[in-house]
Amino acid sequence: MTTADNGTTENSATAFFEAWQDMIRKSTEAWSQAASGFGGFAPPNPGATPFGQFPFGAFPFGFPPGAGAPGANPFGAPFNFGAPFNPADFMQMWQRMFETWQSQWMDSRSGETRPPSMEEAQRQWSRYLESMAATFSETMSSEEFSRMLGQYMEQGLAWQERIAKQSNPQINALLRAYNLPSRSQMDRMFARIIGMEEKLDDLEDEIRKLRSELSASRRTQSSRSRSARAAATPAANGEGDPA
Amino acid sequence: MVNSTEYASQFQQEAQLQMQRFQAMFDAFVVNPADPPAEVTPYEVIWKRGNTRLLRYGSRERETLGLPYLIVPWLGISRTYVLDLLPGNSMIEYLVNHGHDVFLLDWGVVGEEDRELGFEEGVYKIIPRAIERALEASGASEITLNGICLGGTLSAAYLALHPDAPVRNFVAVVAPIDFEQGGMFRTWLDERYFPADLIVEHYGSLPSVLMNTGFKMLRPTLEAQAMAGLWSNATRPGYIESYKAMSRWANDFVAMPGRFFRQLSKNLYGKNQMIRGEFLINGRTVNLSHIRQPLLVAAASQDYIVPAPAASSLMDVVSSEDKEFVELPGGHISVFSGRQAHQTLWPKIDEWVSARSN
Repeated sequence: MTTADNGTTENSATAFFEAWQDMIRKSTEAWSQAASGFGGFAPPNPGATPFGQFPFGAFPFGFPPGAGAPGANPFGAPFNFGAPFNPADFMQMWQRMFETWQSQWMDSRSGETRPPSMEEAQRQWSRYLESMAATFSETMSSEEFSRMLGQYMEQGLAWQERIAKQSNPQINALLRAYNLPSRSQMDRMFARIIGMEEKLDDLEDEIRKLRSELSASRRTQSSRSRSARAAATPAANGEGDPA
Repeated sequence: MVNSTEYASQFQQEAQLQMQRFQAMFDAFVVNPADPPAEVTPYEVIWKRGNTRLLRYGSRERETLGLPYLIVPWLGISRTYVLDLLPGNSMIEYLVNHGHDVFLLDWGVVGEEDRELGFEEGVYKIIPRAIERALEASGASEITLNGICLGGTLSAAYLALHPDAPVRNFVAVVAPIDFEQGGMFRTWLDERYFPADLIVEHYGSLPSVLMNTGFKMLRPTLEAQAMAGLWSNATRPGYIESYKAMSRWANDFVAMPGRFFRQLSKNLYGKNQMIRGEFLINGRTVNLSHIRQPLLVAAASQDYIVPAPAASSLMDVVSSEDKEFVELPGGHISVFSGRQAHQTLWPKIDEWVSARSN
């Protein structure tokens, strides 16, 4: 761009670019505000760990070394995502992708090659995620991980058990005072209903079986009586037509 | 050196594309944030017990191939509406439109009252009754049984224990049989470390929150990848709608009954008893060699939940003479519910079953 055809082209391209950049920034902000204000769209697990709702607190294993660190890309991809960000905050992720893409366009004005398209940036981002997934898979396939997971769950369950033991008698007393059924009573009631439905199914089967036996025996009876009637007629006895 | 006119033109093209995507995303998630409706094919409830329902799809006036097609999906884990996700992206709709009389055994949202629901009840009470009701409703004397994921494992156990079952064909889709090949879950559910009994004692089931965590941990970057893909494809017709429908389903986990989970984690993932012929249900051994029906086994090449070898092993243990294995592109869910399924799995099932329905 330094050796542009003329100054007008350079100036108009720069002005256009800056106007575009400003528009993107403003509209992304407006979008974020609108989305969070109306509850129309939010990241799938807002406020959760980057890996969804880990049941007993924060995910204990962290990112692979260097992932998301300022300017770092531990898997060797040429794309630099800049400052650290939360991979689960997709709004932030898109904004970062925009900014990176824009700055590459800005930087490349004096270069000899075309700047990368958004698709190229996204391909690099996908490769980055793939590498991250592969690292996770490797870690999580180990026996050590399995042992840790088991321990973690046992500890969480033991803690929940303690809380339940302390709080359940009070909750049950409260429910009794308000004449309300407890959860276990409701469960027992549902289990009984299922048992009754099963008995009804069994009865229905029995009735069906009896009906089919009855209709079979009726069929046999009627065919027997037809045979008997036929045997009683003279034609069937080979005596010819009496007329 | 970049020509400034060319540069401005390229930039303009890029900027325009990004704006179109931005507009599509804004429309889909801010202006019209509602999810598309699920369960698109009309159905009637033929039978119900507890949370389990038997559904029959399509209008009764239409002509069908005559042999009812009963789908037995996974028990617990997630909802079955992924089989009937969107118009044009529904396995059930496809089969109905191709003349099949489709029934679905929907296990429903498993509650704590289902804690004792295990292989025994599934194999000896629920599946036989569902088959009986499907036969009665259709007036046929045999059915095609299609087990998907753990529904395939249940169906295989049912057929092994009922050699005289009125089942003409068996279709097993991404159904784990050899749990030794069970991927990451096999490692995590290691009997020595995983407190399956404690979980069942405490919750009565494997709660949906743990199920959610387990599946998300299996592929931690999946959501970020899906979102990146969403941006790239935002202007493709129908892509966002399909993303929204799939995203809702992928976060709609349900609990797994305690008894079933205990059997799954200890007997199957832990000891791999199913393929070894050591799995006992009501005191009877599940011997898969008793399966003699024509068999179609389908696996997905990128399936990290039930890797292809875990599913294909059924081929080696059955006695069926007419059997076929297909490994199709896609993952565990996308193989039967993805955009490419209407060109891969669904026509394969239609063709295979239709040839064996007369």
